[in-house]
Amino acid sequence: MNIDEAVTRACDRIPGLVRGALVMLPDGFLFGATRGATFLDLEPLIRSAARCMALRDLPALGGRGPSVSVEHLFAIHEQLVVFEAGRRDPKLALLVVAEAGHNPAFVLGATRLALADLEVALDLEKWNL
Amino acid sequence: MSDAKVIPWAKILDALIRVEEVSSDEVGLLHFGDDPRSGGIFVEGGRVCWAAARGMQQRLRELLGDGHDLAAMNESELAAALRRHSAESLVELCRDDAQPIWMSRGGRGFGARFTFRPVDVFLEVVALYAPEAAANAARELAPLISEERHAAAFRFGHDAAIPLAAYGDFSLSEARALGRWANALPAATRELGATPAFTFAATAAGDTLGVWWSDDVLYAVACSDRRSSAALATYLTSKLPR
Repeated sequence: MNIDEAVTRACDRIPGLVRGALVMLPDGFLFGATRGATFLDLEPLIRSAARCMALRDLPALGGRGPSVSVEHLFAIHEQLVVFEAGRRDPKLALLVVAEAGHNPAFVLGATRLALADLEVALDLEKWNL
Repeated sequence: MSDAKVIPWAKILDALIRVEEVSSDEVGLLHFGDDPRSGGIFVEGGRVCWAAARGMQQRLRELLGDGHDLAAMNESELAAALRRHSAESLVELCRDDAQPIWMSRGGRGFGARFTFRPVDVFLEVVALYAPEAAANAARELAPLISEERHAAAFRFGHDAAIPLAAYGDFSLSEARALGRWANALPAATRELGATPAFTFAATAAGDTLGVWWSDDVLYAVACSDRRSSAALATYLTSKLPR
């Protein structure tokens, strides 16, 4: 199975999926994308995800220690945009666009599972991940 | 804030954050300019005992009920009067360009009957000088306040995140950091062609920060578990235009 097929299959469970892409950040290297996704569609998504990486250090509240975000969700126009960082290596990220009518918590949860599947299914060591 | 031009919000914020930085065993006066006799903020262990500015004595008498028996005031009325006087004095202390200077009293406490968190004194200033903004922010956040959440609202001016409301146990410096971080999020998505209606950032443990704009106020809510953040997501989704 090539990576595009793996990404398509993993993202199939995401409600309202429009497109998805597996990338390395902040470089923006594209491993694979869901069927039909073009680089023109993905390029602004990848650049935005790279910017969000710079905001991963979350402000500490209530005397709690610093923490690092692993996922971002944005409700923009009629879409939900999710940036999900890899748990094995945070440079790996699954970027997802879904239709806005779906529950954001469900979209996030499904994206987490999709990325977890990809981290298991793909041989990431050859990219030093 | 219609009176934002005359209230030195950023300077007041900086001064109270300076108060927060005073260690728990330290006591002293944060005065403005070279002459401590012009007043300042009396600080004990990172809390405000009182703030007083030259010329504000009569105002204190008014707030305490000029001529009335102080003994007849209950604790909460007295605390409220002192907190309000401190807030009004703080505005006067911060009006000019004088920089705050710390003068330590060593470990000798003031024996203050009341002390106030700097964040509460700041919110007192907001309630006094931007009451409509404070009330609107409180109304927006009211459905979301719970023990599992921290919540705050901010206006931005001169690159300063000015808290309009804050709920939960966090300091003014933490609130400011939260406002600055939250304000950077929409810029991170400008390639997507629009400001988000709302955003979420979450850790692997499930701690979540939700951020959204309403009019020109930024709101931020921190949830400490996935159930609470899912409820927040549902609430924000319900506010999206159909």
